Amino acid sequence: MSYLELRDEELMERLFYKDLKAFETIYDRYCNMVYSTALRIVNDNGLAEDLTQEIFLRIWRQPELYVAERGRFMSWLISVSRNRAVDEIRKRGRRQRLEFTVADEQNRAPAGDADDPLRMAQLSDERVRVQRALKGLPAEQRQALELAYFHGLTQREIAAVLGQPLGTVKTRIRLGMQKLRMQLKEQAGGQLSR
Amino acid sequence: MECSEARELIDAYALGALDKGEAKALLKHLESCLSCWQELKEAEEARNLLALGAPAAFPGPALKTRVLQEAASAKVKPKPFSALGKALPRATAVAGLAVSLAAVFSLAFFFKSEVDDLNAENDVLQQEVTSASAVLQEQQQMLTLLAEPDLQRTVMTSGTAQPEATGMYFYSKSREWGAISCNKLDRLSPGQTYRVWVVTPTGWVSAGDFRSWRGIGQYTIDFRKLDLRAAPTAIIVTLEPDSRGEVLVARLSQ
Repeated sequence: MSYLELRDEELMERLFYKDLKAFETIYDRYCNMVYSTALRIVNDNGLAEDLTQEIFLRIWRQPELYVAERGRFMSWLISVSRNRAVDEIRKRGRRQRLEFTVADEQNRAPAGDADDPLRMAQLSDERVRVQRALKGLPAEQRQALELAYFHGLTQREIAAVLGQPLGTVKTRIRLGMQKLRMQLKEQAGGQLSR
Repeated sequence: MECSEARELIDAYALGALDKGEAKALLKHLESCLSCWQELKEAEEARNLLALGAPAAFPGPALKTRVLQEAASAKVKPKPFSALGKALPRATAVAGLAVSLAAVFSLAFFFKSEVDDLNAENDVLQQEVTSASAVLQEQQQMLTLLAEPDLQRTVMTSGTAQPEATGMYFYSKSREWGAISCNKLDRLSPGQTYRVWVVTPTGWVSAGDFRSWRGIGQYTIDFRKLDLRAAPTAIIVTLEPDSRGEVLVARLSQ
């Protein structure tokens, strides 16, 4: 059986035996996802690469951090990547982060480049699905979700950054997440993939 | 907090966007509300997918080389033969004093104690090598088992004897093999061993003993060789011979 045929969870089990080939397969499978997430958050290529390296080596050294019974590997890895990158920008200073945030969010195109055939070819079905769902959200709801998720801001901080009442931000986040969940469920045929 | 209030907060909590006070109140509610907890799990799943909304970007090819090289160098290395490295310079230094007759006696005493130390360390090393070989042998069997398409996995919960221990139980019905893989096991004292028990409604059957190596322990169970009268309900690892309680337990669903 080829390593490419193994599921993520099976590859992770092999890391307990320091199987370098299994590790390489996991890296090949997810390095772009981890790097893209980190880059979106830290906005610095070099730092995003450093974080990607750190995250993968952590998996190599401590495969027991992932517990298969708690959910699928990809979700766990996304969560680890996002949290580590947000920690990094927090360490680098909240003030700088808030100043950067508004301009960045206003200038950024809606998530996903569905019109770019090259990128489309590189995106997995799941990425396309999520980007489609995000594009379906009203711009202000998507912006609130992205400020929370990619910049690690609380609702109160988002309200300050956008100059909007706290209640408005709370509503945007709640409605945005509900709509996103609903769309993802519909696309996945009734339930979020696990 | 009522469920309706909790539902207002769950999405923001999943995004990590609640203030500490609100998060604390929500957590208190979640402790006793299964339906809100399930709602949170769904919100967390959607939250994780948000990362895929980031524009696709690709790290440079050099990163892969760096990561793999670092991983390869971080592989478990054999323990250096520290006993020799320690003994040799000291022995050389003491030999310099041997010009005086009086020093001959201390030198003789020194060498005797060094030889005793080396013997003791040799025993420990011998034990390490034996344990490492056993673990390696089990790992080879385990890799065969892990490739089985019908492999089932059960997380082992740590018992009272070693609360830090973690483990996984694997079982392949087609092969009739089970195997446990344990981590963070305590170092065994001389004479001690870990024992694997297969528990059935009619009693406990010993499946064999294993020793750990640097906290890792592995053991494969060939069920065809066990005289079981009923289907197993649990797999238990104990510390023997002092039976200080269970080290790890896998409860099996029927």
